[in-house]
Amino acid sequence: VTTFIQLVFSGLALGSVYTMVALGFVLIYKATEILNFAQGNLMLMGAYLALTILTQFHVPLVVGLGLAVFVAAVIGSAVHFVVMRPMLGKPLFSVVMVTLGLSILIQAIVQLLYGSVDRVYPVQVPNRILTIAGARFSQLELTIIITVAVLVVLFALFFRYSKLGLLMRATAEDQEVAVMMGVSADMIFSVSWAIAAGMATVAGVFMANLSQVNLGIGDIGLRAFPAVVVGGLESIPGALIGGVIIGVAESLGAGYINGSARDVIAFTILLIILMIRPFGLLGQRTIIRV
Amino acid sequence: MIRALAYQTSYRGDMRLVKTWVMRVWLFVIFAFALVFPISLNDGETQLADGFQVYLACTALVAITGAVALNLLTGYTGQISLGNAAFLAIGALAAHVFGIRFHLPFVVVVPLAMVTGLVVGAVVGLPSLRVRGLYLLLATMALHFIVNYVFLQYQLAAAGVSGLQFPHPNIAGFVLKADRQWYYLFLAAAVGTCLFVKNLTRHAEGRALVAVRDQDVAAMILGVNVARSKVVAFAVSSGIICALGALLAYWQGNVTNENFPLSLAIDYTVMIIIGGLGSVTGAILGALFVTLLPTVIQQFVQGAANTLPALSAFTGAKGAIFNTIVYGLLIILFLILKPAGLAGIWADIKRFFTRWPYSY
Repeated sequence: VTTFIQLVFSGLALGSVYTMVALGFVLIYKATEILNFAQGNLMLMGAYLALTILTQFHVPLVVGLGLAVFVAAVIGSAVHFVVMRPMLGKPLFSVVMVTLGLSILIQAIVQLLYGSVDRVYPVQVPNRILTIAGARFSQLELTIIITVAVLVVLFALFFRYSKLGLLMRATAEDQEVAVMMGVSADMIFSVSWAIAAGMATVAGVFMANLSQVNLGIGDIGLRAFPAVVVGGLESIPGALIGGVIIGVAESLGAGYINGSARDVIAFTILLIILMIRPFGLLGQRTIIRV
Repeated sequence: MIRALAYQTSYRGDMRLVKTWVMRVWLFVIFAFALVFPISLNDGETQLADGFQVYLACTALVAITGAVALNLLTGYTGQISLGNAAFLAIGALAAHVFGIRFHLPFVVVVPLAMVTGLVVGAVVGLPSLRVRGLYLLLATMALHFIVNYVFLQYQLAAAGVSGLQFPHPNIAGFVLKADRQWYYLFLAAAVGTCLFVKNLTRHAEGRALVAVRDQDVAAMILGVNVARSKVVAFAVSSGIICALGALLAYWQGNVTNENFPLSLAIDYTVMIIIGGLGSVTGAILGALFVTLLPTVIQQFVQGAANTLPALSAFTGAKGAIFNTIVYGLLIILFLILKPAGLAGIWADIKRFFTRWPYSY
């Protein structure tokens, strides 16, 4: 039983990271109906941004993280204006391919700048092993879970009560009407990209602390896809639930079957969900029959 | 009479495979060149470089076959798929099961791999009746990871980390060994696939696929069995790709699951996007473009580095990364600026000359 609890716990930590990435996916999808394949490598970019800021300026972890999030947000909104804006109204496939191209580009640039060597964060998040009732928990994982929980609540409040959040919801609900009411769709899109990039950065830093800073982080971002689909592509609470489900399932699978079963478990769940409920657990049902 | 464009005056003419005599001549020249290409390279002191050229030509032909087959699914039928690497892996897997485990000869193994592909493709195509667009993309991506896992487990059970081993295939006493010999097999595969797809699109079956892509509801009303068309497209496309996977496995001689990464599937999709969706010519051009691009960029950078030493930083190990950056940029630029791809550019050039000087 203690093994089970420990595995669930690290699954929750992993799931928290997936949730952050999935929230970014959902946000961009809600606003622009684009499935952003570059999210994983935005995460990679964020991790290295934070690494650079922390090693170059020797600032406290929180300040460095904040700076990295800010820079990533600026890059994210730049991506919208430079790359995604010309693609408005183009076929779905082309838009997806552009984000794939972007993903390849980001990864290659990071590789060019930093090389393919593993790196470790200079400022470690405190990571001791806590023992509660015989089960051992890592403090780092606890920190991640709590931080993500706080961030998700903050984001939910922002989305629910702030003016910008209202505008974003309006645009997601009905873009044409929102634009007619004077909302700048362009602004909303770029803000969505900025927030998504910021979230990816937070996720990237956590992921980097869970393992190491290397180019593999971008591929982990791909594993957030099952999380998004399980929750429903346009559902924000769905991202949370999906992230947790996938994280825990992967952790249990890795613990009880074997390490390489990780990817398969997430993607098998994805496939099953697509067969039974293609719109996800909390997504909107759209009926198309041919 | 001045020929304005290659307009056809009869149905027969419009249905012909090669519509004008100019095209016929060009095709003949290209085909003749493709036939003598490996022979034309001399075996002199530059053996290594020649070997690389033939190797590159083989890769390009493999890419052409795969891209044309994928184009049948994505370009003609409009079913987005990231499953190409998975189907290549299934082909290699089938080749190992039939060829090594059951000791069947090479000439039997490849058709069997194709049949495996047909069956698996039809099964995988079934979800396409239920999910579409982005969801189908995600489903094929899921397939990719699942196949990769299955492949790894089989590989570990059958051969260990070193990978699946394949002998040089023996076709009726003739052993395929050198790249030059493989080249002709791949050439046949590529030409055969192109002809097959081109002919299919002239056939009722193929036109049904295009109708499903453009307007599935309208296609259904016109009597096209949409479900059947989608499954057929999946089955045929993956059948070809699996057979290609089997050939690839024998050619490389040693195959691991890392030979079929997700980036390979992305590469194939990029080929048909850059080339131009829904066109055999486009898929060929795209495949050539993507496979030859790294070499061309490196040649270019090497040349430029001789005059501008600062550029030499982008050769060697950094060169590969530099290639990737150019590759990513090209994908983005093509999609933003030239969505019709290389086939579109080619059509523009032709239009410019046929209509010159009255280009409007």
